[in-house]
Amino acid sequence: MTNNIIALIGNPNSGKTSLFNTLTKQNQRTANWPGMTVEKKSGFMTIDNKKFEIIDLPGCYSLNNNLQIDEKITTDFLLTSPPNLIINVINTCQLHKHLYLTIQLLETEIPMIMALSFIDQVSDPNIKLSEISKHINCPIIQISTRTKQGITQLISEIKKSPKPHTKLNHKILNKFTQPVLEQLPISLQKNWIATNLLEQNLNESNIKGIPKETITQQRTNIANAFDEEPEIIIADVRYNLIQKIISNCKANNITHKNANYTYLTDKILLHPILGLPIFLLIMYLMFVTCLVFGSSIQEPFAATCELWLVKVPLNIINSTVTTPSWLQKLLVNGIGTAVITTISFIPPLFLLFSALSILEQSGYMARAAFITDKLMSFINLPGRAFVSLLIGFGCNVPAIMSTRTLQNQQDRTLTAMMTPFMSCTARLALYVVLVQAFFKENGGIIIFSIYCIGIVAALITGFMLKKLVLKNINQNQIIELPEYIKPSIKHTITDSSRRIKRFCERTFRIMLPTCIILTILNNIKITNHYSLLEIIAIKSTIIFNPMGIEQSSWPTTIALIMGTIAKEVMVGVFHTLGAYNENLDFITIKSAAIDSIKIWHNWLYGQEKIVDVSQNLKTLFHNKESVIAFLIFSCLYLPCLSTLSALKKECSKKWGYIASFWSLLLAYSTGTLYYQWATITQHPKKTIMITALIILSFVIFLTFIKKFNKADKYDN
Amino acid sequence: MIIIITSSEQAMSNIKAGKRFKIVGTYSPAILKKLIPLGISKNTVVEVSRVMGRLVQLQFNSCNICVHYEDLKQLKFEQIL
Repeated sequence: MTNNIIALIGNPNSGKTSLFNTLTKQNQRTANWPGMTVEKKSGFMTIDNKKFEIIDLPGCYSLNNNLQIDEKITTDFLLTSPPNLIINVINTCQLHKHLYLTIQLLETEIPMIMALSFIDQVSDPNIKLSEISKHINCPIIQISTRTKQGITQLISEIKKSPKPHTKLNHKILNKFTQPVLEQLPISLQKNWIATNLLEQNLNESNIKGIPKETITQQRTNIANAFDEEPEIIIADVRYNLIQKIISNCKANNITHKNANYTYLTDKILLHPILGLPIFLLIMYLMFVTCLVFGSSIQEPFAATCELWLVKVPLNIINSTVTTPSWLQKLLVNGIGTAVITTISFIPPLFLLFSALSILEQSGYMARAAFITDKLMSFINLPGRAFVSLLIGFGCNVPAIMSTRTLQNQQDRTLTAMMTPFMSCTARLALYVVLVQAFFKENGGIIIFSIYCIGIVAALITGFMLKKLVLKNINQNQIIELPEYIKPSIKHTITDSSRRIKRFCERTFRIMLPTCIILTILNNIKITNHYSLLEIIAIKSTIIFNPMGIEQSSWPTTIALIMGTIAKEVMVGVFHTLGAYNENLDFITIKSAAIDSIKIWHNWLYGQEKIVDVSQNLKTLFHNKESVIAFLIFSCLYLPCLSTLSALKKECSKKWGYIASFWSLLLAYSTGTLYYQWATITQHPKKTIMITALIILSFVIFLTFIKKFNKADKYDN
Repeated sequence: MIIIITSSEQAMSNIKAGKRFKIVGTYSPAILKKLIPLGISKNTVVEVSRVMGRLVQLQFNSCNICVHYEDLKQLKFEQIL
């Protein structure tokens, strides 16, 4: 633990996390929408053998622990553990807005450095810094994390350990703050706390010995003196100072250099009628292009990796040490399968992550909340909830965490309950493998349809909960739209690589032991033909018969069970159990080199493949209808353990149970209904009976939910 | 610059792309309190960029923000012609 604590504080999209990454040499994810940083993160930097702890706080517009969670985190941090230094990161293109927080930070009297970021993107970078200094007595540095301009200067200012600045004095307010200030039983940050208490910005329970009567009296005095609410008067005082600073430093007309371009682009992309269809088209093209092209590389990539990472190393081991056959099977079918399965997804995922990163950097994704607001109005949720759902396409856990940016608890709960239906990248891996094996021709459309089923399920969940349980109407929402900027290739590659690394780490961590355990269990035969794992799985698979999954497809049941731990495991389970390789062929380096060339030559010229990694999966399903039913079930059923624990943390245990039960019911019903109605000609009576049973289950569940609402009125 | 002072309800029907307004007060301090840190305070002149469903995109001091229509109804403003 170090005594040199530096807090990075600023508005959302001011470049805090980019500066944090630059100073600490970390690689935290950055994006230009509010809610990217929802928790404080810390890292370290060393200057001349002196260690500094840098804390990246969530973006906030003001210091107020009664408003939003982001603001609460920052305000509580300053109240309970004030840092030694604040670096206030300000977007130079929006000085007027960002200086409001700066004024509040100056009121805290904590030493501060002002970092004017995005200096490479302003229309006129010649701001008179000396004029700002006249009003704000702290070091001011212009920086750009893209061009690294001003970073050295910033580090040398940190090294100097700036002294506390001169107290910011709002003369007009003094006679009202003074009586409060005199009665405050604290010694630090008195002025700031007194002003904020008058504004009702601080939760009074956090500070002991508050002179409540004096505060009420002074609030009345302000209202009488100015004929206006105290909050508005105090804000006026701050904005008058801001206006003076901006006029003096000639920053009145400073805009982003892409402001005109943004205006014209928004005319098309945010068109009231065309905006939503354009957004959906962009999303569709992104998924289909990345997946179709990525999947086409996936097969030769996986085959080459299998040659070099499994067969050749094992051949070398085998030629030097005699290994028993059970160990060889474990290495190939357990560890080998896990490794190959995981890395085979690198090409499609890298393309998808790159496309998402480009859209994020450009500023288009920040507009998603605005574009989709109309869609979300159907369930009375703000458009910002859509951003959380969108993050869910990457991973459901950060998506549920990002619901913190929503203003009330009911909206947060509702969005968190909808999020698990968004197909994360782990589920995408499963879709790609099955689609490759069964639907070569129209794989892109099938995957897109499964994604759409997830979205529809989320909307149904939202609609049901809004109608039956979370009935509160909330209209409060503010969305900020950043300027469009040219995406950087370097950032795209770094961002995509970071996400790929996380995907691989998580997958290896869970998939490796799972595949090894399953290989061992599958090889311990308790009868002549069957292992214990097979016997249990075959018996359990009866449950999935209405979905067209027969007992011989027992590895699907194991995959679904293991998928509740982490969805990444499912494909590994298929390959370990379904693609079980009885004949282990190890090859030499020379043969591997020749085969690799053949694989890529054949891929390039569209010739027959040497290895078809998905071939063995075809034995697991008897018809295409059962594959689609299984895909639907996998898309909708129980979220993974990490998602469930995030849901419990952000909402409550009760919501975790409801989410589990509801997702199982919805998944089983949808998968079964699809299969039954797709094959109705084969068993019409059975189909009608199963449909009736499913309708009955929904009626029982909805009755339970309604009763749950009456018995336990949701506390907002 | 000609300023037409309007009541909130009348002014709301004039919320259309390209129109400019000056915020002069509020019917709900809670709403203005929420907007203040975003740069919208008393006397701020805003231009409506577009209206999309429940949201109104406002432009002011090189900022672009979208506010809910119902929130906007809580503000007192004057239309600038």
